[in-house]
Amino acid sequence: MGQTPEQGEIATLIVEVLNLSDVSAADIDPEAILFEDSGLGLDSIDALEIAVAIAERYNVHISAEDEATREIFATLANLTAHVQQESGVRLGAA
Amino acid sequence: MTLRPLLARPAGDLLALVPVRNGYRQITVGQFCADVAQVASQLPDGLHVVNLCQSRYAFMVVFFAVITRGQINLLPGKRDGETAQRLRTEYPRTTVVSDQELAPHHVEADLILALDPGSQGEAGTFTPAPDTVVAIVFTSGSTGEPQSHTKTWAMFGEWREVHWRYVAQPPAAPVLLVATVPPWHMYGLEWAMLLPTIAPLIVHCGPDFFPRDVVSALNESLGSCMLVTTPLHLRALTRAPSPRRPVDLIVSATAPLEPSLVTAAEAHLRSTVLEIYGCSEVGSLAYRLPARESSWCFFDCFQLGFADGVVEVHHPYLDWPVVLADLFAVAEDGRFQLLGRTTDVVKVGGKRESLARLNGLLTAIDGVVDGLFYLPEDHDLPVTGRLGAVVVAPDLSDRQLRDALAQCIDPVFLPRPLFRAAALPRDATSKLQHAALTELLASLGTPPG
Repeated sequence: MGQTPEQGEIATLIVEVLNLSDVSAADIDPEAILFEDSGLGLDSIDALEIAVAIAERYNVHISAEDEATREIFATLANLTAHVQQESGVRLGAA
Repeated sequence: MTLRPLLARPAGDLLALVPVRNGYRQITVGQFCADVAQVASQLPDGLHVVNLCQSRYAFMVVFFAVITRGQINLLPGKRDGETAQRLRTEYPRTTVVSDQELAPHHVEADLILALDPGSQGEAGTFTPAPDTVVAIVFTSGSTGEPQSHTKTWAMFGEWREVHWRYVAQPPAAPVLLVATVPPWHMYGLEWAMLLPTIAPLIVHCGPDFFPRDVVSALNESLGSCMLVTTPLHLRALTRAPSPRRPVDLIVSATAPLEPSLVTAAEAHLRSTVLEIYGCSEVGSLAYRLPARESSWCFFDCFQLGFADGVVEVHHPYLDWPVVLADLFAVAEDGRFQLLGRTTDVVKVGGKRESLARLNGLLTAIDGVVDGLFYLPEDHDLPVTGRLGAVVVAPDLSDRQLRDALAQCIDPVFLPRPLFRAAALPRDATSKLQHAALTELLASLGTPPG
C-alpha cells in the first residue's frame, strides 16, 4: 500500500532520527507494525527518540498516560494520523 | 548493622500517587501495607514469583507481598510471557503474577491482581531475617548467558540506608519521587522502590517515560521533588518545556553523563545531578556530583581491592568479590577516575554486552560472510548511543539480515546504522585497524568515529 505525503514525511523523520540506514522511508508500509518483534523491530528507546523529534518538529507531545500510546505507535498510519490531528495544519507544510 | 523493618515509615505517611481517571489515588503507608497483605494472602504456595505487573504501584505491592510470604522475586531483564514460561520451567514452584491479561500465546498468569481500594492495614513491622533470599536478578552478562544474582534482605536493607545517607542534602520532606526507570532493574529497584521504604518519599506511579509525562509528574509536586533517571531521558527532558518548580535532586545512572548534558540538565531543571556508578552484580557502588567533581567516591559500605587499575568489590554480603568491568585510577584519598573498559563491553539502554560476542553472533548468521559492530562516537546524535554495524552478506536482503539479527540479539543492541559492504578492509593478520574502519565508514556515508 502506498504512503500518503504526510505518511512519507513521518517515515522520513523516523528513518533520519533512528539512523535506519538500511531502510528506505518510502518502503515503510503504513499499516505494518513498527515495534516489537515484527516490522522494523523498534523498541521503547526508539519511541522516546521519535517522540522527542515529533515534539520538536510539530509541537505534538506524545504521552504514555494516554491509553492510546500503544495504538499511536503501532503503525506509520496511526502515528501520522495522530500527529496530523494534534498539529492541525503544520504537517505537510514543513 | 541492625536492619529496620521491611517498611520503616509511619502508617499515615503518604507513600504513592497512583493515577486514576480524574486525578490521583493517594496511597498511605497503611494502605500499602493492606494491599501487600491482601496480595500475600492470594499468592499460591510456592517458592518463586515472576512479577509481570506493568503498573509501578502494582509491581511494588507484589514485590513486597512476595517477600512477606517468604517467597523469592525473580526479576528477569526481559519481561515477556516467553521469559516467564522459561523461568517457570527452570525454577521450581514458580507463580506468574500480572496486573493485566497476558498475551495468550505465551503464558497464562496464575494470579491477576485486583486490589481492593480503601482497606487500611497496620504499618509494617515485618523484618525479614537478614539472610533471607528476597530476589534473584538476571543480567545478560558479558558472556551472553543470562547470569543470576541472588539478593538477600541484608543487602537491600543495608544498602537503602547507605543510599539515602548519600543523597546530598536530602530535599525537605515530603519529596515527590518521579522515576523514568522501571522498578525491576537494579537501579530502579534500589532508588525508586527500596529508598521509599525508609525515606520520606512519595512515589509517582504514572508511566513516566515520555518528556511530557515526566514534566507533568514533576508538576504534581507541592514541595520538593526528586527525579531518578538516565542520561537518555535527561537529554530528552532538556529539549522539553521546564517543569514549573525546580527539581531538587536528579539521580542519574546506567550510562556516563556528558559534562555538557549535566550543565544543560541542571540549568533546564534548576537542579543538582547526583551521578551513580554501579553494576548489576552489586547495584549502586559509587557516586559523584558531576558539575563539581570529576572523580568518584565509593559508598563506604564496600571494601575495595586494587590491582593494576582493576577494582574488586568486597562486601560481607557478597559470596565472592566482584571484579568491575572498568579501569580505574585511584587516588590516595580513595576517590577514583574512570579510565575506560577493561574489556570490550558496551552498554546500551542500561544493558551490557561484549562486542566480541555480538560480532560472533553476527558472523554466525547463515549468509553473513564477515561483519562487525562498532560504537559510533558521534555525540551529536539524538538521545541514544546505539551500536552500528558493517556487514558483508551478499546473498541476504536487508530484511533477511535484520530478521536474523532480531532472532539472536537483544533489541537494544540491534545496529543502527547497519551498513552493507563488499568486504571489510582487514590486514594481513585479519585484524581490522581503526584507521581502516574509519575510512570504510566514511566511504559508506557516516562521519568518521
